[in-house]
Amino acid sequence: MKNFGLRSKLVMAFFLAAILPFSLLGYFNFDLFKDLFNKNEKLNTKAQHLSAANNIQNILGESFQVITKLEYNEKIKSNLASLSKTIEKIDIDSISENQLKEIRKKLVNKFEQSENVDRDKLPEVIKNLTQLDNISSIILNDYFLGESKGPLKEIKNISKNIDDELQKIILSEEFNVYAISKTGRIFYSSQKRLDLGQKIQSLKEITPSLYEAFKSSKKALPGVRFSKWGKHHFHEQKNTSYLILKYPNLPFSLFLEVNGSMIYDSINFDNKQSENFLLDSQMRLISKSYLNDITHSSLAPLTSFIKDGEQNLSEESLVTNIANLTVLRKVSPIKFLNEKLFLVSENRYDKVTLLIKKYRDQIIISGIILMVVSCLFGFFIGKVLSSPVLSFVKGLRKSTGQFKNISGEIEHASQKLSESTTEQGAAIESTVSNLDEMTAMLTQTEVNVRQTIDMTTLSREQSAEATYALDAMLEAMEEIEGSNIKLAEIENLMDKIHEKTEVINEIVAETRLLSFNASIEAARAGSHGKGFAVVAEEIGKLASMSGKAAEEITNLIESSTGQVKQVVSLNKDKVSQGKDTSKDCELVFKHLNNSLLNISRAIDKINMASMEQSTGIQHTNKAMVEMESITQQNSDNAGLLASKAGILNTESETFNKVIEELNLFLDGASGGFSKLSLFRKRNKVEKKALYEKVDTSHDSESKNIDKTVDRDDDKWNAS
Amino acid sequence: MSENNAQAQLSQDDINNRYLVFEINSELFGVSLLDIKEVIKNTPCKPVPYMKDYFLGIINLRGRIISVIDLRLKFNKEINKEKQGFIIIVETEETQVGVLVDDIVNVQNIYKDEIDTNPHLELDFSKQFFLGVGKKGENLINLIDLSKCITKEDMRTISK
Repeated sequence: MKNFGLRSKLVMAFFLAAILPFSLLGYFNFDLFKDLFNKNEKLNTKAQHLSAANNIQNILGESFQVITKLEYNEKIKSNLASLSKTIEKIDIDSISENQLKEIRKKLVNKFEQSENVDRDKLPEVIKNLTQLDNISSIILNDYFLGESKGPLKEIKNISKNIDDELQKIILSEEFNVYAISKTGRIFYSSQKRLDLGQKIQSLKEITPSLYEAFKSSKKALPGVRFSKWGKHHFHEQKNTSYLILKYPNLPFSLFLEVNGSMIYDSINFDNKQSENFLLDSQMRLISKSYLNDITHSSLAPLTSFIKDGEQNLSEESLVTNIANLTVLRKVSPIKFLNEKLFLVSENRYDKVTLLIKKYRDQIIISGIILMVVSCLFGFFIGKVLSSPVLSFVKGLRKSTGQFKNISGEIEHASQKLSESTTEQGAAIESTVSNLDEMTAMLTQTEVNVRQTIDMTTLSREQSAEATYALDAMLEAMEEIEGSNIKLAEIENLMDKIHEKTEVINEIVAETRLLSFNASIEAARAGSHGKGFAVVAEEIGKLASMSGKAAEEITNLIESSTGQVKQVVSLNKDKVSQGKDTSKDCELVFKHLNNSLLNISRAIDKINMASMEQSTGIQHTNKAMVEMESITQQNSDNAGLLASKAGILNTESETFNKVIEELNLFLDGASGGFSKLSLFRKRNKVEKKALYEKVDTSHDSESKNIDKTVDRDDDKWNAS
Repeated sequence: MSENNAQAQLSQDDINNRYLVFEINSELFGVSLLDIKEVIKNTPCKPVPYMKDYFLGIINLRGRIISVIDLRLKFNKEINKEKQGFIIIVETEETQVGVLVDDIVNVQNIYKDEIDTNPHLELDFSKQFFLGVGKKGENLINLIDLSKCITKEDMRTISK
């Protein structure tokens, strides 16, 4: 058991637990089923026996039919008579198998003895009889020899009781009328001996009163439980017959007990009334027993026919009698019972067998399912219980592996650390010298920065001067604009002069006209106006001269105003252009100023930064000195660490052994597993894969650690 | 005219030889001073309906109504609108008529030897008003009788 893991143990336990109840259940159930089977089988055989008994009667009837259809010679007649007598003797209740066999032999012999027997039909008879023999033997064995149990026995007992009761009634030798309900209950009986004519009359009277009585109370008469039709008990009273009166409208039948001879008498006598009555009431003739039926009610006419010769009965009536016989036989009590029982038993048999099969199948299927489920459950429980522990163990294994590796690595790392600390010391010294150089460089930059600051301040001043100059230029431009306005005033003055010259022109024109008119007047005056004419002429000359002068003046003024206007417009354009350019210049200078300011600020910042840097370097120098002492301490510590790591390594190995033991307990030996089940195998494979994975991850991690260490070394070297 | 000429011969030649020179479309015309009543500045004329184109209208000269004819139109010359224009009042046999000219140049003495009275000209109108061509330096002055320039037809239209 040690070789098996926890899981396999659990699975086995659950499997056994499932099998135990199932096997117990199966055991009990199978016993029960066996019993049921047997009982049902017995019942079935009994039903078969009953049906066999029924068959006897059928076969007998058929045999008789065959017999009756044979030719009627003397020998046959005698044989038939003897046959009837022998048959009369047959009482199924009392005969044994041997007796029946004897009867059969006798019958066969008698048939064989008769010479004129129809040889064609004889085999049929013999066949029937042999069948009879076979079947009867079964019946005798099972049913009639007292082996039967249960319902059949009950019926037998009841019927015996009824027989006893009826025996008494029959023995009274009176004409007894029994009213029997359809359920077979006798609720009326009268014991009066009457003549047949009277009987029939009284019957007519009785029936309505009976009906009334039946209607009023069904419990009026206690009655006797009656097995459907009178059975074989009647046969003992040889000469007794019964009339059964069936009324189609009434819920009961009348059962008349009469002397057999009387009946036959009454049948034969010519009483129309009674005949009609019989027809109306669907009268049926019943023999005192079903064998007596054959002998008396049907064979009696035959026997009488045989006795009396061919006098009273026609062949037709003979045939009807035989038919009656068969009809009666069909309703014989034993047959009824048999049929009922057989049907019941057959149905029951089928049902029971079906049920049993069904249950059996169900039980088997459910058992199998139970087994499978319990196995799975066990497997599941095992897995649930063991999987966390297994995983835990795996984790432990992994961690111990890592542990080991790491301890080794620590050792390695501590060695490296000591090496690196010495390297570090050297590096620090070199760093200190470098820092000194840096401080020298910084002082140089400070000087340079100061120089640049001076330069920028100078350029700023110059740019300010330039802006002042620009302002002066703008002012000059504005003055030019003012002079332009004065020029415009001059223009206006010129315009006024032009107006005045026009006035002069007009005066000149008037003067000329005057001179013309004067010369005209002088001409009219003749010689007297000679001097006046000269004056007029002179005036005209003067006028033309002044006109010319005025014209020249206007021309001059027009030309000068045009020039002035041109000058003014030109001036305006130039001044505006000058203004624009000076403004642009101003803007440029402003930008220049701003940028210079920015430069000076930036330089200030640089100055500050360099100052800070120099102080920082001084601090670093101090720190370096401290670091040198610390590295010395580090190298000492690394040596200590290496020794401790060695101890850790040995401890991890012992830890690993403990874990292996735990794993063995949980999973069992690896050989045992693989034999157990496929699941195990698969798990094993998975596990292996997992371990491999763990190992690989391990390696990679250790590599990573190495890398990090290397990187650290590099950093130190770089610094 | 014959009486006037006789008077001039009687008094002075100079006076007879005096002419008023005026301009139409920069062509010079001369009229005897004795034919002219007065010279005035151009004044706006009141137009009269149903008259010919060269009949400008009527003006009021010191209470007298005088008809004015545009000589430029009459001589089929172009009208220079820049020129102010002058109206020469002429005394005909029946009435006084105003004649509109472009400009009045001066009053000049044109002697008989300076006048070519019969130049070889083919004129389509009556030669009655054309007295001759006065040569004064390089300028040629058409000497005309204004009272004869205005035909009786013209006068009829006026009188109507």
